[in-house]
Amino acid sequence: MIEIRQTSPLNTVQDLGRFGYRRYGIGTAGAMDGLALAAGNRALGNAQNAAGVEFQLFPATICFQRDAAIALTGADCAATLDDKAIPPWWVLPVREGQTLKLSAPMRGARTYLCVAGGIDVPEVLGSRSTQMRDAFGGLSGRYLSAGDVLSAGPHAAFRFRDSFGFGIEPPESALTPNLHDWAGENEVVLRVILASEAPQFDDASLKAFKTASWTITAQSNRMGYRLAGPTLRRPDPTEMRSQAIVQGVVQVPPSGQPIVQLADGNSAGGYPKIAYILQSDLWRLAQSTPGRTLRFSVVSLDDASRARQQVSQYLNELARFSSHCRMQVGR
Amino acid sequence: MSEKLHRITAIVDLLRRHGIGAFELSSPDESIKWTFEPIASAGACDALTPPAIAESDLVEIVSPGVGTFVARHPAMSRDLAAVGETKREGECVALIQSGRIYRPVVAPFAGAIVKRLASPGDVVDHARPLFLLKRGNAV
Repeated sequence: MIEIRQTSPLNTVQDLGRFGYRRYGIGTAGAMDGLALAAGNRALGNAQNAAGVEFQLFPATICFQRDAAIALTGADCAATLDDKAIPPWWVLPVREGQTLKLSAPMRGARTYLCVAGGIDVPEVLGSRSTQMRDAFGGLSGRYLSAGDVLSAGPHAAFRFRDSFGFGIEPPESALTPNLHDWAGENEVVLRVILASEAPQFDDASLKAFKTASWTITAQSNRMGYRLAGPTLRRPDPTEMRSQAIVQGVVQVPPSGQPIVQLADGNSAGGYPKIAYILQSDLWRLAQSTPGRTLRFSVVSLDDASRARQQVSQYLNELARFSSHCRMQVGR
Repeated sequence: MSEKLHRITAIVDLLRRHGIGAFELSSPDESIKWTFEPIASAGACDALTPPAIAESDLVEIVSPGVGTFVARHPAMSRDLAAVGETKREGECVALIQSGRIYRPVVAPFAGAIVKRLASPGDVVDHARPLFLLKRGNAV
């Protein structure tokens, strides 16, 4: 039992998303940084897709009404447990009555709280993610508010090898090449594959797309990010019919300034698509805040597939190494 | 069995942290006895081991296991503990990386970090001294 003592709006229960219902106009929702959520779950021995809490507005205070095991992943929000500092990407036991405090991250945007057994809210259409637009899923289809109580699902009992818990290596240091610069001195690099309407843009625009620096504007949230940079021109401005779109698609509206559709994005749209960001790189965007600059790097489908394999190997290694830090109880 | 082993290593850690040289635990069906060389001479072959410490208010913070010494978490912008900084009992002062995992190095007492005895990237053994901690709140 986890009591939310204090929270800002916009914090929700999320798993990896609701798939298979886009044709009915129902988007996936799910964690913006799905890799952080999956990593926290694997480190706890949960199913990768177990639900956790996504925090994107701070501060937040959580009180544990029962002993539990938790993982904090994603942005480092200078967490404290009963005023004792908890390093980022940390997996630890908590005792009944302890208080966890999360502050606004210095770097990064979103922090995930996973619990052993996962957050136990009802599955709706195969997922526990909060679908804000249609107000279902998660905890009653809404943002968390002070006084909410969440429970953890069943899980095998274990104890920690170190009473302080253990850390897991974050993706920016585990995945190569390191394309993510938390300090903000360099651009965050996002790998893309070109989309079907890319050839409709003029050469200068295509070149600008691939080489320019793009700034994340303040109009960026779970639905999508609007980017600012050189104007991308499509000589034949004929409007297209709406068609299915997916998370990570980069669309170019008539303004010539790209939009990236994200977790709570539309299920269909008619803006021309210039590229798709690799699913394996979406966490980098999810952790980039307005004002950060991005660069796109065009890669092949084979590269995309290798990137995906690398992520899945990383998660498997986390699970394997983490299992040595937890000891089964009652054997 | 793993449960029992876990308890034994936990007891070893406690004995080392508190500088206890000998300890015996008996129950009706088993008994176990630990004896330690003093910390300062136990690691005499290690060039980085500090000379014997005369003042009893200085405590070594030792590595919880084998791995690479990490002073700064890759997602943080500063070291977990700086020389001169005061730490509370049980606070994390550094990490030992092994594969994708970091084990915590924690302060056994409240006190000030007097010296760091290992460099980031060093591969360290179990119980290798990593910091000197001065008991109490002042350096």
